[in-house]
Amino acid sequence: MNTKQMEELTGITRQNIRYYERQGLLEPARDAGNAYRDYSDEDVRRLKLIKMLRMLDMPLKEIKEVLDGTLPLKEAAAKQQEALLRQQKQIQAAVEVCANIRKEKSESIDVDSYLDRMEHMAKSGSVFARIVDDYKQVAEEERQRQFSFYTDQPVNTAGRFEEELRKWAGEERRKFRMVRPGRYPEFTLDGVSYTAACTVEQDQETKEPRTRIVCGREDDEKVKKEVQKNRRAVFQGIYSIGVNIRRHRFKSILNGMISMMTVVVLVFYLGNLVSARGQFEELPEAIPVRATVMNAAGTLNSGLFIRQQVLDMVYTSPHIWKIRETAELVGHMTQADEGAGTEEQTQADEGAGTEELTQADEGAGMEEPMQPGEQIEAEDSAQPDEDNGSLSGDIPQADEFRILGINDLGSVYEDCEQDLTWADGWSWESFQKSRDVCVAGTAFLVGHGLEPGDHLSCSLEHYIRAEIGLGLEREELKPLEMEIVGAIEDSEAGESMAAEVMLPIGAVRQLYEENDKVYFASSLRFTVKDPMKLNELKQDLREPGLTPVVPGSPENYAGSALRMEDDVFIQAALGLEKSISLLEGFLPFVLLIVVLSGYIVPHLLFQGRKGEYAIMRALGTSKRRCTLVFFAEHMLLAACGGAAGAVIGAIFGTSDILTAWMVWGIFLCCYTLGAAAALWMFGRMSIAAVLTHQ
Amino acid sequence: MEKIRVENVSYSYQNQYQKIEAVKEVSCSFEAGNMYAITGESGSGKSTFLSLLAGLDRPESGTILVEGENLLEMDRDAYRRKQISVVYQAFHLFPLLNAVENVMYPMELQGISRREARKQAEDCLREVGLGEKIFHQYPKMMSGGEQQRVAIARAMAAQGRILLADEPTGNLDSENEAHIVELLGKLAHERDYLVIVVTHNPEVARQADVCLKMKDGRMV
Repeated sequence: MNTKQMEELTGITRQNIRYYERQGLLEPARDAGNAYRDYSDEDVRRLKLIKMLRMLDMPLKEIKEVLDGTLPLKEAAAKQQEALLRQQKQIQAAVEVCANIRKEKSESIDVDSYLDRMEHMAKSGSVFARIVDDYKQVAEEERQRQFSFYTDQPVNTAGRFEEELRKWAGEERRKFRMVRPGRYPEFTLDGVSYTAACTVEQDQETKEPRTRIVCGREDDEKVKKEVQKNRRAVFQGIYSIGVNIRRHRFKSILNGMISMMTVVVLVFYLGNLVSARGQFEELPEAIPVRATVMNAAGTLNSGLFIRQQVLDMVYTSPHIWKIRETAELVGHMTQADEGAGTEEQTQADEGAGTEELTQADEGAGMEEPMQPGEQIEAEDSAQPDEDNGSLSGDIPQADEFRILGINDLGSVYEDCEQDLTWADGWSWESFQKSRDVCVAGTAFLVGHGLEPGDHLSCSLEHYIRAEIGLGLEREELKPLEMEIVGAIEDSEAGESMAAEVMLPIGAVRQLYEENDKVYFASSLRFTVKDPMKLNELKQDLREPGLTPVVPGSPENYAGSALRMEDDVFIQAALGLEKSISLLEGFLPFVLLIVVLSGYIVPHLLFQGRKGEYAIMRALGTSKRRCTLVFFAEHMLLAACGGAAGAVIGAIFGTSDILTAWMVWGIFLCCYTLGAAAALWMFGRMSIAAVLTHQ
Repeated sequence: MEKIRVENVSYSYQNQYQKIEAVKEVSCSFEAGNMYAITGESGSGKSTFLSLLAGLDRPESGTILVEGENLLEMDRDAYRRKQISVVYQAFHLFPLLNAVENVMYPMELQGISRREARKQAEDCLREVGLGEKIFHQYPKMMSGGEQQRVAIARAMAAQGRILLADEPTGNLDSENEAHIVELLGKLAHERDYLVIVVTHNPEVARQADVCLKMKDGRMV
């Protein structure tokens, strides 16, 4: 068919068909008579293929290779796909720049700034890709320098040699041309010159002789693509190390595996150590050591008289935190409020003043609610009533209510904060700093017809030691008017409520000052901040007179003893300390083993490479350079194996990824030491002996 | 012209069981343009003596003067790179480098540009009688004789004009042996090399200009 028919059939213009012809993509036959082009069906197929590939934006050079059969279509499609994806990224970046320009508020834009950003994007996006491409290029060049393959038949003649080469080239889809046949034939593969030779080797498995053809490429500048000179040298170095590793692959795998296993073991070992240390450090948080001031017999933990010296020591000690201090008072509703609230107030008010209480009275006070944490371990079960340490163990009178000075809401009952509703503008912080304010339980408020925001007027009493005997007396303080700034929903708290009305501890202290009375705290609890210094703290607390609880001591209300809840902590700490010291004790040996493996592994692996090292030295390569080459190769494998071990250890081990990498670093340091020693020993060998006796 | 002078050189080494005095107070001199053969029985110290001359071992006592300069005071790596080269029985070519690259190796160590080194390497290979077809072949592709020629070409590339050979024909057949000996003789007589060959082969020794014999570490 002629050009016009071709044009109609393929939809490609006459000019383009001619252009493809000029580029060598198409070679139509010529009519014998008029020399007009005569396109065959095969030409139509080729032209359609060209059109299809051009529509995929494939360069003509590659289309030509596809048509020539030197580049398989699938491979060309894969290459083009990569190129298109690169373009797609560039177009996406360009679209984003356009969008940014559209978003600019002013009409004019900063062209330089945009240009800089775009250049930076183009540069940063392509640098890595270019490095990878360059390496692939250099690696491919190096790979093609020498390659070999085995033949099925023995190669005895030049013709047979050529036949085997052609067969191999056909299988590899390489364009083969014989230049000079012979024992060492010269030929070209895809236009690059090679020479070949054949050797007979013994098959490792069958022990039968087999023929191997080794081909070597001439150092042809044509095959070298554009790669920076220094970069090429570095990549060639890396490639050579890779080839060496491959050549000694059994030893290389062994090296990598040993490194990997060493790091896995190290990760498990050091991971345990780090974990145990972490647990030890977190022990004070996990198992807090709490202490409670008690009476000497250890039967009371509240309703005590705790002296100011004890409080000063506790508040100033650096080893103590989370201090819970309470001060207990008794309130009586004054007449004005009674009308509004409790009409059932009785004349018990009259009891305001000093009432004498005896220890026998205390027994009746067992119904007083106490917070669970303050339960006392009864020394004598026959006298359970004494376990209630409340100073208000007397028979409560109808208008009486308990007032508690607090510095922590937990003193009321645990999680009290969740049930507390503050009046507008109030919070725990502002409450603590104020005086003449209180929070009260809802039962109390309902019972007295009060609500947050109301004022509560009451007369006050505090406890003092009886002048005679071991009993307690009450002493009147100035009346008090307080604003109710919060309500505690105590319906669920019930008996665990320590008191009906709560005041800031600072306000209670001030009350004592104003009434010119000596202040005593009723209860004191705290947590030991640094339990590792427990003994030091106990010693400090002896100064103001706090001694350990001695069961059976005379009952009294003096807060003079200290109960430390430290048994569990001490046991846990001792256990962990033992584990840590055991692990730490072995650490030097473990590291020594790593150093030794770093020595032994290269020492054994390098034995088979003495000849290589010796000849390098004999030719005048400095010891430093030889060592560096061997060392780099060995450490590269160790680092890779170690990294794999670190990843495995982090995935299956007890340590986090950071610890795993830290272990990898430690391993590399130790292994480097060992390997350096091994190489130093290796370098001391007699080169002459190796070269002479090999 | 005297190239190497050896004065009262002794050397001993400790093997697994005992101290071996390999070289005992050897004194001799070697002149350029000659081919020397050192013969002797196994264990007579001839290979050790060659290693001392190559700067691979350090004598315990005595001095080795190379062109008037004390070898012990020289940078021995540089000495091996620039002044002396050794050829071994086992060839010791780099298996991953082809013939030209093997010969280029010492030149590259000397800092000669790759292009120039290639040119010189090809000249050296031609000089030892190897054609272009060998240039790009790898050691595995060559016969023993060809490998030894490449090793000699590599030794020539050092351009130090001192060539030491330790049993260079030990692994070769008689035809190749004759070629190699002839080549070494040529280097000495036509290129003014100092060639010292350690051999136990009387045929090789016969073709040397001077034949020295060692026995029990002494030159006799």
